[in-house]
Amino acid sequence: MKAENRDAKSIDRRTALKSFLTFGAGISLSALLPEKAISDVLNSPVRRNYLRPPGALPEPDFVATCIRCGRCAEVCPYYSIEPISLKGGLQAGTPLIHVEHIACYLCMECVKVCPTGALRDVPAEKAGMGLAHIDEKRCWAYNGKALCRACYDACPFKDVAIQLIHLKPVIIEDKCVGCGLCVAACPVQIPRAVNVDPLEDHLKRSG
Amino acid sequence: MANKIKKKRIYFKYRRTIQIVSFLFLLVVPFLNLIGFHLFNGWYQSLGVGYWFIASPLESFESFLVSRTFFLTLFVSFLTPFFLAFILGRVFCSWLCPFGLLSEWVSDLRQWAYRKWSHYHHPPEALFRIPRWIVWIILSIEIIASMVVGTSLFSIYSPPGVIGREAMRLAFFHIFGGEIIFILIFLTFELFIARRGFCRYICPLGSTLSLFGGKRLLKVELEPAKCLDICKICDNHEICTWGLMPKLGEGSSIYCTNCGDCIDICPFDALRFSWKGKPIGLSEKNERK
Repeated sequence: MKAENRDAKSIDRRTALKSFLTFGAGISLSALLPEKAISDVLNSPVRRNYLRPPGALPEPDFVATCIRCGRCAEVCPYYSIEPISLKGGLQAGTPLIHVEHIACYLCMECVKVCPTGALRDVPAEKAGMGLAHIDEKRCWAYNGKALCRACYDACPFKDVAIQLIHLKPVIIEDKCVGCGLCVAACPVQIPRAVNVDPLEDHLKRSG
Repeated sequence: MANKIKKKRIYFKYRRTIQIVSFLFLLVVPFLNLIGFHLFNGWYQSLGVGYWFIASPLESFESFLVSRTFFLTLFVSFLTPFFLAFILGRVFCSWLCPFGLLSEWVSDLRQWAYRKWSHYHHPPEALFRIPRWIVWIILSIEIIASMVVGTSLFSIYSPPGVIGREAMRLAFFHIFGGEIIFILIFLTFELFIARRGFCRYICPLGSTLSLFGGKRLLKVELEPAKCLDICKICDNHEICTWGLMPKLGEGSSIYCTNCGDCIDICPFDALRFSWKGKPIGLSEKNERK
């Protein structure tokens, strides 16, 4: 106890400052990465075809809750979920699925291991990852290049979330969960004829 | 001089074994998961053993503060490390933390290099004087900054977390995510500026565990009858990597991690672990040669 008191008496402001600076270096390194103003250090990485795992909370709540333990990524049998690298700034370590690369197969293993509740344990029908859109100008079935039904065949909710109407795929917006299997299957490349966009109200803070 | 007394370093042997096992565990678990064995899942930010979830206390507390949502699973996961620290003190730091192992090796390297290339016999603990209570300021800054930014900041650079995350990235995607740079920065800081500097003066997780272990049952205590006044072996800064002085009773201070290095070195068995004030431990088996 004596030594503590001795420590407390000999305060050296300069040394305190130095240790603060060293500590701050770690944080500022991630915060000062290019093109990121202070206001959007938490800029969401969620965008077209880059989605959170199934059952994720709305975006601001998700980042607030997730402790980046990576257990969802470890448990994913398809290696769909990847933790964001340090390029993601303060989002580093949070899980993201790039559906063009490997889409989500909705096995719902990840929601069972999440300790924080950032991924809520919901059934696959309510995964709520996003919503698929078909670009009719690029789709082969629409512009008559082929009798393609790759997205229809890939969909886990065939005839519910996607239907073939006059041999053209149509997405039923109420039922589509945005798993992205149709995107991965689409033969039209860069950009795909079908893409998954994140839900609008998931990007805003909920109540 | 410490090197003339040959003693079996009993606690050190156990501790180093557990540390290495704990480090290897982090490296092996991603590969087990890769081949579909999910019994062990995650790392020291959150570890799952079957349905038993363990979550790092600081991250879960920050997650709770920032999201302002009570989630029962997170609370239950928080309890295991909380009670471990509440009963045994800050043992995670010295017995389990993978960064602690690296940090101790860097500390040994630092001592060795000083002895070899410098005229100091006792290398300085730090290049400049850092007060120990700085950890409380850093802990408060860490928590407040997390609430300002709106995400748990410690989870980004937490050394045990980063080691696990990078091991997992290597196993699954064969890349580094870049967070490994934090480990390198902290180790460089410890090598050149302050001995075990990150663990001693910065780590907010360590200070959280210190807080929990304030009234712990397991302590390092001194038996004054056996202690020789002029012997300064334990106060010699080389022994305690945390820079504490067990002779002044700092073994029961809030900063002690119960690593047992001072118990190992004491030639008179005057220092020993005590459980609720009663002496326990392996110290009487020590042989002096």
